[in-house]
Amino acid sequence: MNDNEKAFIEIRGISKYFGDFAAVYKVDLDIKKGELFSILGASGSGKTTLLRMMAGLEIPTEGKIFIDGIDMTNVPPYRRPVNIMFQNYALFPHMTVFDNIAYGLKKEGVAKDIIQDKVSKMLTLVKLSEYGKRKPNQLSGGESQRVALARSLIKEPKVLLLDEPLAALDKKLRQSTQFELIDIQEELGVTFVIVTHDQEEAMTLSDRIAVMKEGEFVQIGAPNLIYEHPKNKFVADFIGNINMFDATVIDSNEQDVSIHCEALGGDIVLQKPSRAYNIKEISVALRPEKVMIDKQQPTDENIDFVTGIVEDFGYFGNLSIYRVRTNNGQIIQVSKQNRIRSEHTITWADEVYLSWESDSLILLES
Amino acid sequence: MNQRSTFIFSMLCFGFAFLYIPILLVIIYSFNDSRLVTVWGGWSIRWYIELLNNENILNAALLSFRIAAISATVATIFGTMAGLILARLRAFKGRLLFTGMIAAPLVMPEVITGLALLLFFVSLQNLIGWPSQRGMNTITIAHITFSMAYVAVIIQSRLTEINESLEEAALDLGARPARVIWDITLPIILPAMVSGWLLAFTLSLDDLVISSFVSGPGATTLPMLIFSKVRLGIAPDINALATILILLVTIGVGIAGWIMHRQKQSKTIS
Repeated sequence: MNDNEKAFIEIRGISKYFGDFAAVYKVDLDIKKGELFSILGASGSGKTTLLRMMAGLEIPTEGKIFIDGIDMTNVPPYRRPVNIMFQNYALFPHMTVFDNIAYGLKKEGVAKDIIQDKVSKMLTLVKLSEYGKRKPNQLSGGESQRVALARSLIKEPKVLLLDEPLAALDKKLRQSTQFELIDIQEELGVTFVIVTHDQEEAMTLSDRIAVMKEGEFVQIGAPNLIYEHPKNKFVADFIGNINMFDATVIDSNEQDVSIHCEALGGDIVLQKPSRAYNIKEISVALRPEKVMIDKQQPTDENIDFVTGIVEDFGYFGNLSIYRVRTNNGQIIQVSKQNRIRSEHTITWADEVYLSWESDSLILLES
Repeated sequence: MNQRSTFIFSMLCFGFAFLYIPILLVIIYSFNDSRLVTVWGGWSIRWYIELLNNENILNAALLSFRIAAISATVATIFGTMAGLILARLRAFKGRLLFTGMIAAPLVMPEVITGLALLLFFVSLQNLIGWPSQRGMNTITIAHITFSMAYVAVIIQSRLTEINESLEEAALDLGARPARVIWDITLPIILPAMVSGWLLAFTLSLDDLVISSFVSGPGATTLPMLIFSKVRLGIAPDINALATILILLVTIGVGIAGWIMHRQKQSKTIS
């Protein structure tokens, strides 16, 4: 095991109770050095509490936190090699941008000329070199966000914790800022831990995502793994859109699984499942973008399909979303890239054929 | 102007007239030349001159201002500390009791507060021999006790408006808790502290009941003097004194308003 593979932040069996309520319950987590790690969950899932425990703003009820091999569980925030960027940015309103960013260095007792130098460099990094003399109330949302980022990076923390870093920005700005964040992270090599409720944000920003629910992790993995191989119905449903149908397992072994799914037109055989399924009742999930929609019947005989009628149709510019009611009464959501200009041949009440690759189907228990 | 707004406007005029005509009358009559308060005898400033020559009134005014300044300052310090604890320490044993005890002086009848303080000072004197005499010191202490409750409430409400993550950010950037209060909390609540001080100052300057209870020989505050003078019949020099007080209060309120206005303006610039 080389140094890069070793966990940089180790969280061992950590819990936080508020009264009888467990905001975080026995969580274990390893985050590698230089990783961009996201904790994704709905509000109230305990993700912010977990982040605050890493920052030292909340003392865990039980469990331990190690950062770079040192036990940090009870170390106060002002002695941790960790900095946090707050959701509302928490810029000091009575200080200028320069003083806000310099604050951390001043508390360290760094010499004035070095502070001047470092803050100027940081202002350049976040593209705000002209803004040093402004007060926080003279900044736009995006500028405030960058000042907050600069302030939390100035002490060169080993870990930067970001609480909903982009939530307060509008959509356009959010996208450009996302890439800026990644650039800065790559340039400085700091380990980023991001807390967010926005799955898109988590997907584009992170190397790995942990999906959190009711104080516990449901699944941890790379974005594509979580999207394409969700561990259970909750993750499948939480990340992106998905069609989910009831099915029964007819036969299962290492090579293939035969299932019966009324909604998808009857018996289906899935090749090379990740494992054998010994339970009968199961769910089959299918992402909308993996369904092909056409007015013609698919020519390939091996491909499964169902027929239905377009009940609803939404045009989003780059793609269109169809809600199709199949002949056996199920609604299937389909999204289709509008690859060819002026081709919107499928519309309301059209009879369509829906087909899919059989390895697009996800089998989910519970 | 439609009917509705005419109605509202006239109601407003009535309201203001009800509030301010008596005050205006006091000001006008302070320039009355007549010896009789209720009879107009032409314009004059003789009562102002008389006031300046009245050593009793000047001494009482000086005493009142000294008590007000000291008690407001001490009350602001203690009240701010109490407000910080109320707003920032979430859970500690006896928090509810502490909150109740801070708020109690606000609703306690002044007579009871005054009596209680008097009993306290008397028994303290019997026990440790201090205060050997009631007077300016005891009045000041009494004023601190009730006005710090007001300051604490003002500070607390201001602090609940301020996001705690500001203080957490400072902690996170390496400032120790005591440093955070100095660097972040106090500068932000400074306007609230100023208005708390002004309120405490006014409350002290205005107080008659509690002062009367805990005062001793030789310590007569301005309200006590005015009240005792009025009992003997209203003298015209009281009008002059009242006018001066109104002027001072107006200036004070004006300054406070100006500070708050500037704060608001700097907040809205974006």
